[in-house]
Amino acid sequence: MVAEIHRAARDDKIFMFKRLLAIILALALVCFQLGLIDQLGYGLSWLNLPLVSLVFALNAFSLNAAWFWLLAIGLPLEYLSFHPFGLMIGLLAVILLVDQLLLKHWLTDRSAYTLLILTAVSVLLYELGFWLGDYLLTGGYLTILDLSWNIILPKVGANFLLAAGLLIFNNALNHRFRPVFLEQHR
Amino acid sequence: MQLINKKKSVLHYKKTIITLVVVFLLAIFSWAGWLSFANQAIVWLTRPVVGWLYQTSPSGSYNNQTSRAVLLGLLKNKDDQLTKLAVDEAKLNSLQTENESLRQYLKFNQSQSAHLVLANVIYRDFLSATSWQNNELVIDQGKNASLVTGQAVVSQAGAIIGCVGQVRDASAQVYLITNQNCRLAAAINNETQTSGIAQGDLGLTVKLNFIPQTEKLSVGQLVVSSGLTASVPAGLPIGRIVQINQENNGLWQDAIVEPLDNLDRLLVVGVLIK
Repeated sequence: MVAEIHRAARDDKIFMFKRLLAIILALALVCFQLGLIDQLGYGLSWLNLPLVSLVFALNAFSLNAAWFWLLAIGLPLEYLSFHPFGLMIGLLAVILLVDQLLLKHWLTDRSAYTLLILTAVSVLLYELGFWLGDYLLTGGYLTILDLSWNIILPKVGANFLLAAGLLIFNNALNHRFRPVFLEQHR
Repeated sequence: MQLINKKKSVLHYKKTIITLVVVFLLAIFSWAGWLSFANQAIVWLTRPVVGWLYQTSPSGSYNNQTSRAVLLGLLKNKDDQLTKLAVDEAKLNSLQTENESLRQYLKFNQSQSAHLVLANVIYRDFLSATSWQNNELVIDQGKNASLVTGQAVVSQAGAIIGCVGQVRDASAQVYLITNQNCRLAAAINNETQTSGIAQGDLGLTVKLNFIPQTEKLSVGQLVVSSGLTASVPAGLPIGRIVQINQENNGLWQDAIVEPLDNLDRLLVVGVLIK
């Protein structure tokens, strides 16, 4: 009984530590995206790390983890942008809901293909939603050219590759750090 | 088993709804201004890192590759322009001296001159629907440095590169002059000081609109701010005319203006506060 209480307390601590680590990682990701990625050339500025990481969190972990990650990256993005509060985080929430619907009712498994399809759908929704939200809420000067395929398709392609890279990295990490006592010796 | 699955899905829906409610409440509190401490905390935490990453990023270096012959040609053109500008500067200096002495004679009251606030560029416009145009900046000065919307932003050389958009406590958005949201009252340095409205065009150039058809323009003429825009002093260079568009049946003609400064690699800018 006492051992169970101690175990529960330790699990709570580990849980809080993981959440804190996730928040720090989210802040670092946002800084990296705004400060470095967007300034790079050769199409690297098309990469959207916050969005791809959100889709990855949904596909690789769970909806709960994805919601937490959404708040962790959405809030810094909201405060660092000059749009009405709620545009960024609301858009990401809508994308997450659509992805969850697709995952549950159409793409039923969580394979690499699922991740890539969800990434493509998410990037398309992000571009369309951001354009629409920006236009409706700020009333700024936006043209239909901002939505042209010449601009959106390269972004989809670049984030496609990013998602694939993230998957490979995750698989390599899991493989490398697998607990030894769980390996089967032939 | 079915009962367990049902409980799990109900739990998922509950968490989804709770998260959406939290997001909605955050939006309400932010609108009411109750979350300004969180805003300041996040900006305080992220701004040094983002600013350092921006300053050290190789922005612009991949986009300017060209051949040696082209560069030599450009260099020679710049040398010729420098010589011409030196001559113009000498003339302007003598005119300025004469102007000041005449004003003193007439006891003319001069309006208070603008002072410059320097600001570091923190990042460019990832968080924008027009991010493909690459024509918005965020700087690290805001309301605490008396910045307001519409003020002119100048480069180190003194040419206008944009205007201030939204302003927060410690940061501000800058629309570059190639951004459609930046509109300035401009005048052409010709005999009649033709005036028009300079507005960004698709993130690439500046378009000078509403020029009467009767006005004579020529390629190469300098376009400056006319002073008719509130909070933008007169006489600040914007660019040079590179193309003139005239329609026979139209009331107005317009001109394409090329900015004087390179807008790709901006690290430090100045905001003119009148």
